[in-house]
Amino acid sequence: MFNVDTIRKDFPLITDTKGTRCSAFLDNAATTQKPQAVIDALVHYYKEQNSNIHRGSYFLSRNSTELYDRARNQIRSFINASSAEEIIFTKSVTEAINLVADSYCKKFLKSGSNIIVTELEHHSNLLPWQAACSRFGAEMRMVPVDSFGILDMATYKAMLDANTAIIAVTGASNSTGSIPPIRELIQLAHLKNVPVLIDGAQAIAHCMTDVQKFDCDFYCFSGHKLYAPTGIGVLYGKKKYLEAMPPYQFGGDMIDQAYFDGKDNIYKGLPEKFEAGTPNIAGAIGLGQAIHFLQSIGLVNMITYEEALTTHAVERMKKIEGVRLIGAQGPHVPIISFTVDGLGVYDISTFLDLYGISTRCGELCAQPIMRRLGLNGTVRVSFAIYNTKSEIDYFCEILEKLIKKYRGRPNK
Amino acid sequence: MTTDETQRRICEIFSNIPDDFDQYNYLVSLALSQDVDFDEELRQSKYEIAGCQSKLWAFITLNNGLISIRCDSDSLIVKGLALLIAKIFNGHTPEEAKHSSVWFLETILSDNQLFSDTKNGLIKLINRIKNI
Repeated sequence: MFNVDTIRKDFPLITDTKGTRCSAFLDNAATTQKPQAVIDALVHYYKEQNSNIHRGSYFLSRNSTELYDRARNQIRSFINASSAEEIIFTKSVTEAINLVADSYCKKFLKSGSNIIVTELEHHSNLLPWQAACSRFGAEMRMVPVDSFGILDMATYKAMLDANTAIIAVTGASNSTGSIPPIRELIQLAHLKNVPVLIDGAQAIAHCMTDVQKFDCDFYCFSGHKLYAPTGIGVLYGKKKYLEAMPPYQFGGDMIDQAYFDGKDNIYKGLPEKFEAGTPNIAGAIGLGQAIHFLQSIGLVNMITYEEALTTHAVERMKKIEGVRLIGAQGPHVPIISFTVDGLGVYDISTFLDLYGISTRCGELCAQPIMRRLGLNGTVRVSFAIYNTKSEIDYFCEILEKLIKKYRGRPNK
Repeated sequence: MTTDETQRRICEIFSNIPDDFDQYNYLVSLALSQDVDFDEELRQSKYEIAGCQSKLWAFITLNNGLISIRCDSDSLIVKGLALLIAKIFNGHTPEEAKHSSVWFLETILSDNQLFSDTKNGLIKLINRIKNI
């Protein structure tokens, strides 16, 4: 049984707002707050378990290694990867995508290759591919969206050809919240033997993720949007690709045999090959703890609750004069982007902050899609498991009040 | 009035408005007090100051060797701040502008009151004025 009051008690920053000036945290697409269990896991690790992994023949190091490996297994199970070797720890989704854009492209891009991305992408799933195209002389193809931010699937089909090397697509748009037809995108790509990378940054906390069911070839996400600490991310990759790809970074812990001339160097296997240097051990343990916390609540319960919150917010916001909701109806994560006719997004967000309502405004690290939709930016509200309908009501009341006070002034 | 004197005057005004809400309201009323007929003419990409979270435009010219600045933004708060910057430099020579330091933003607004992107845009505006 999902009880939001009980869940809120697990989040110190949500319940104790003394000094935070935050009475409604509605910027969860940027990052989520952390449950006490995750905070405790980090403190406990540094207080009683801290040691480097894979390095020592002593108890603390062995214990750290075990905790780190356990976290990897928790993530494997959470996204239903077939093997823990397919789970690579990174610092963020951005680093995970950069890893693939660099390493995969080094191995598989040929002269005349093309890479397909969509106009929905966050800069993190756009710029690494632009850099790869520029570096390896490949062509970048963009799947267009319509004025509601819906992907043009006919153009996508037409773009796919024998020279397509990889497709990178968001699991849920950070600017509109819409969920693209991932399964269809993957099926079509696989008909041409083209692998697909899913940027799961916005999807991971709000959708059931089963990489085997999706049959995606790569899936990336950041821990901090999943109630875990910042600085930890995950790259899932099918073993056949990860094994073929060269290392991304070089250094300690990824090498089996190293020589002065480097010619006969032998790298470790998966996953170590892609985890050079001391990793974020505490972050990985924190992510494992966050997953444990979410599983104890029940993912289906969470998703159902968040859908109800989003529907409530959309219905309330539709009734506010001057508010324009961005994006289409349909599959959605709990993200709502909007503008107000006659009022700048920065002003809205700034004044909401004065009432303790945290929102995000601007181009949301997705400038091309903003231009495509003819927007200078939006205000974005995004919900998490600890938000309530009364917080949304409060937000709508204040928004309405601000609009009445400031809208229609001659500044446009 | 020197650029420092204008900044001291602005700081005096803000020190009498201790509440964040009223400070923003002051900036909004400053923005609304401007002539609006010029807006559409000013809102062109050639006048845009990139790097701000909001759209910010500035038309900077020299009249008889003295700086003249007109600003606009899709944010009333940003426009208010840009107008304060314009007030500091208007009527000064490029040489005076070049050697002036702009310190009032840090004084009137607490460090975390202004989004970093917005601050970035305002700093670019200041640099553009200084480099006229």
